[in-house]
Amino acid sequence: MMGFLVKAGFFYIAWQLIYDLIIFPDGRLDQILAVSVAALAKIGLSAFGWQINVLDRLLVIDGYRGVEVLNGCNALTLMALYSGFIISFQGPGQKRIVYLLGGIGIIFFLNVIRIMAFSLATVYFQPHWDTFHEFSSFIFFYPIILGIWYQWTLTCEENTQSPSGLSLA
Amino acid sequence: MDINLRRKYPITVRVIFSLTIFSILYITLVRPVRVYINQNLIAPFYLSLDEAENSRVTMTARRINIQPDGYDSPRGFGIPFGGYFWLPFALFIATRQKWATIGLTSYHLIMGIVPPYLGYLFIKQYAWAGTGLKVNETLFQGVFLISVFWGIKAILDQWKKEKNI
Repeated sequence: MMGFLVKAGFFYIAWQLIYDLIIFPDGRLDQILAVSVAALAKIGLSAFGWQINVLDRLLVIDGYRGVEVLNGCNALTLMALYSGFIISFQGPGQKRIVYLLGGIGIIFFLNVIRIMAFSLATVYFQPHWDTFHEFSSFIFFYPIILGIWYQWTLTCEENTQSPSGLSLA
Repeated sequence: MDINLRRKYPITVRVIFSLTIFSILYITLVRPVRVYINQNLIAPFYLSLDEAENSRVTMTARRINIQPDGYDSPRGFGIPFGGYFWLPFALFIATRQKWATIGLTSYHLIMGIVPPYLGYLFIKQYAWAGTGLKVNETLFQGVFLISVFWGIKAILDQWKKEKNI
């Protein structure tokens, strides 16, 4: 268990340093994620008949306030947090890649749905938008991430034929 | 005689009981104390530093944000022992995980020392302290998620054991 925590801790520290010193100043990854999420959210909302405009990172439903996908809202940090667990928890290599790529894809897709929900929130409950935004990770991300992590630990246990180090109960 | 009363109750009852008790404790006691400490002790200290340095310090009810000259977004720290502590703590108590509880509590005690000091250094224009604050935010979220995962996994394991699944 301690080994897992130390590995995860180092991963998160290394990730944040790389992000702060290289990825953030470069800006391209944040920009690609934010713009693609905004564009896909527009496609999603348009499919349900909403008149919506997109300008770079900004989504606006006609007649309502806009929603801007800032760097903190592009789910990159959550992708790193998710990946840190999968990489640090001992398991089979090939399945690890599947879980990593699949999980990151799911988080990206969930973020599109979250941004769609933010836009709809400007229509239906604008006064509570900030609260909805603050707790949105608990609704859209955390249950799914915890679920995939749990499935990953079960996969690892099946492969090692012994209980994982996380079972301390 | 069985003196271990908590063992008599199924894990579902213990989890609901623990979450309810600690939610009430947090809302009625802990949260107001955190707000009071931030507004009356911590924020005034950092706001007084703000006047002497070229850094803009702002506060919310449970958080201090620092934005020195040349930075386009603020960095800061929250007051420890918030919801990100009490949710996993309640799960650990329900599943009787002594060492996880001690570890989580120790971590939040450290969070009451290290990030405020990094904040102090950041106001004093030490750029690396700003990176330290960002690292702290990521670690903080990671510790929360892993703690909640750990707690929920223990609950599921105990529930399966009770049901002989």
